[in-house]
Amino acid sequence: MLNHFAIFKTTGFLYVTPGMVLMWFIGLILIYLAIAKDYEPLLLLPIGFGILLANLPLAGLMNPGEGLLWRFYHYGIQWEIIPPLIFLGLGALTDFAPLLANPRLIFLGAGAQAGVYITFFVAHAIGFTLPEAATIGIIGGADGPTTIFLATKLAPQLLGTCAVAAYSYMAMVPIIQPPIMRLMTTDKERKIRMKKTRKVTKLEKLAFPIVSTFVVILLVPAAAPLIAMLMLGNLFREAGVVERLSKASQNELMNIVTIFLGLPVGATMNAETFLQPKVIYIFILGLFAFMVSTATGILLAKIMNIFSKRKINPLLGAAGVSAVPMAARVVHKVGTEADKKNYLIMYAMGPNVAGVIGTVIAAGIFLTLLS
Amino acid sequence: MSNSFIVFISGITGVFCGMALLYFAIRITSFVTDKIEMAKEAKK
Repeated sequence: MLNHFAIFKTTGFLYVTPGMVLMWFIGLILIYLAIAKDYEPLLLLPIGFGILLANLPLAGLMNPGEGLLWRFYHYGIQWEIIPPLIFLGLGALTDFAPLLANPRLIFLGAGAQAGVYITFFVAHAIGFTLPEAATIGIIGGADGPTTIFLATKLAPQLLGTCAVAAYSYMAMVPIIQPPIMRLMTTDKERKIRMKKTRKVTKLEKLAFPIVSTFVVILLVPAAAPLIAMLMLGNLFREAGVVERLSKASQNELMNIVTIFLGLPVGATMNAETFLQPKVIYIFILGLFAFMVSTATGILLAKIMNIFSKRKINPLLGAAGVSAVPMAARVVHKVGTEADKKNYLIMYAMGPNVAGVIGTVIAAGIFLTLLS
Repeated sequence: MSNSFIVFISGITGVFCGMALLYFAIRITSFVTDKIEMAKEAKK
């Protein structure tokens, strides 16, 4: 009898806490949203499962130095390997031609970053430390890997929460953005048709990743890991002579690193670190960041229209957040509601990809000033 | 001036300067590549 009880004590059942049960529930919600609602399933599914694993007693998967998920986290994320590799795949998937055809749209990618800094300011004002506030603010950039990269460096204790907030809100771009877009633009503005842009040559597309690498890294050296990989991936794509590397970056590598990103990020969310009142503030501030980024992008487009003869459809400003290509699709959808023949998708891809670069620069500036 | 305000101002200014620099870099690249393409066409 005594032996049976001793064996029972080695199982996890005796050590389950109410906090762990609550975390299982949160993990299952994320898995449900990924499977049933198709909300960023590539990330939310492994994150949700990682939450379940991290909250199983005695499993020790996140025990420093020995746990399996801890090793994924330590060598993959803390060593800054996985987020830059995601950027390599992202670069190989991204066509910068819409931006090169209409370079002034790059400023809309910058305009949306104002939301990042406004949220940073607000988060610090309500009691978060400067590094924590920066990590929360970057959620507004709508860029998951950059959020994870910055959180790992500045506020690792917020990594899981900020990553889940960023990916959740990215999935909800079609719900969050349209009301703000309609509120901030008139029907007449939404009907503005963009002028046909020039053709971008192959040589120009080839030169862009090299030129951007120099410009961004010289300006913000702290952003080098992300921008270097983004532009290398794009160079693979545009070079046309390394199709195998381009395809591998877009598919196999991207898929593998996505698994090793989501699982350990979810595993950082244990009951002790996640079940705190400040988590609610982070989710509210993350949503605020998204909304303000959308609004500032639109506002900048309207300001540019005051000084420009060639009018920009202000809806394009909302694509300045870097949720690629979701934000561009939303712009197109809202545009066609006002004018069925107004095809904005290709124009919206310009600020959309500029937003990726803008968020990386914003993160680099945070790192330079705060780390 | 508080630290957060300094980061706020430096951040926004930095992002806009960075993107402006990239804008001019793209314009210069376009100009140069267009010239190269035109020269190639002329040779043909």
